[in-house]
Amino acid sequence: MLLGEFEYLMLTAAARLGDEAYGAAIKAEIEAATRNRCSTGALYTTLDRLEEKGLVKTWMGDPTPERGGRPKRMVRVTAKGARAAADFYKAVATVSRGVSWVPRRRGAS
Amino acid sequence: MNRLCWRLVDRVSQMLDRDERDAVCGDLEEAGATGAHALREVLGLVGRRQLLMWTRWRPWLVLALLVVPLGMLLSAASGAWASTTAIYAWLYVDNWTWAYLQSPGSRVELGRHMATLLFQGAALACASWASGFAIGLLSRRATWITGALFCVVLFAAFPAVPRSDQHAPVFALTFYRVTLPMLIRILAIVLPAIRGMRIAPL
Repeated sequence: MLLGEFEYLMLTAAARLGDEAYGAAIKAEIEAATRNRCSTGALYTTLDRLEEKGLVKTWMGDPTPERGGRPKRMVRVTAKGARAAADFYKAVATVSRGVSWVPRRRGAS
Repeated sequence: MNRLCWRLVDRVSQMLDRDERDAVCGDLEEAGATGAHALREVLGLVGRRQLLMWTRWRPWLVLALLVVPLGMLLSAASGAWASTTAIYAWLYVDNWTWAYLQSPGSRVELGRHMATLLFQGAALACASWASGFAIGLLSRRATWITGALFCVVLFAAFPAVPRSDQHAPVFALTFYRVTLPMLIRILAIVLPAIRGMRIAPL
């Protein structure tokens, strides 16, 4: 099963965050990596899709005061999710072999 | 403005599951989002959730089997009732005379007309409540859109009052031609239907 690019970004961000992976933290990771705005709608609908596919497991954490006493939706990447992310990364690495996206300098042959 | 936006966020987020509402509002509060930004984010999520519902068969089935037929039926029924109510209101209110109460026959006739109108109105409201309940029960979380479509069908399917030259003096008055039928559709159909949708279990 090949992932979509946003699904891959979410899995990677969640894996990087480990035990601290939840909605706002994943969103911040993705925004920092892509330098693009990540909408809450895209984040949570994709999270549901990933959970339906069995690629992540989510649960409600404890309420915290800085969130107005509201709980976080915690995320953990499953073994199946890790395999899917690895397959996606491998496919991107393979297809990118021999291709350079670094712009060539003027005058270079 | 910021407080108003946060109030709207609270209202709009009621359309989400409780856990998701807590998680999303908590994320926005933790990120220090402004009210306008939070509202945009929550509206985006609610919009996506509502649209996703329509990728399944259930809302389409409810639309075809309940929303359109019931909306048309209630539209026609409310038009007929509005027309009858307008004619009797014009007769007994605009052209009131104490003679209506002096003659025993007129008194009985007046009482009978009032009772019939009230009974028909109550029947219309009950039918609307039951329709709303059925739509809410079967649409589940797509109720907001099916409810809005029900209102569109209700107001667009049939004219508010049937066109008739027989009672031209009554329907020459804007109140009986436009205002009263609109009030009847809102009070006797839309409000009971919304009530039915709201109490239907998800």
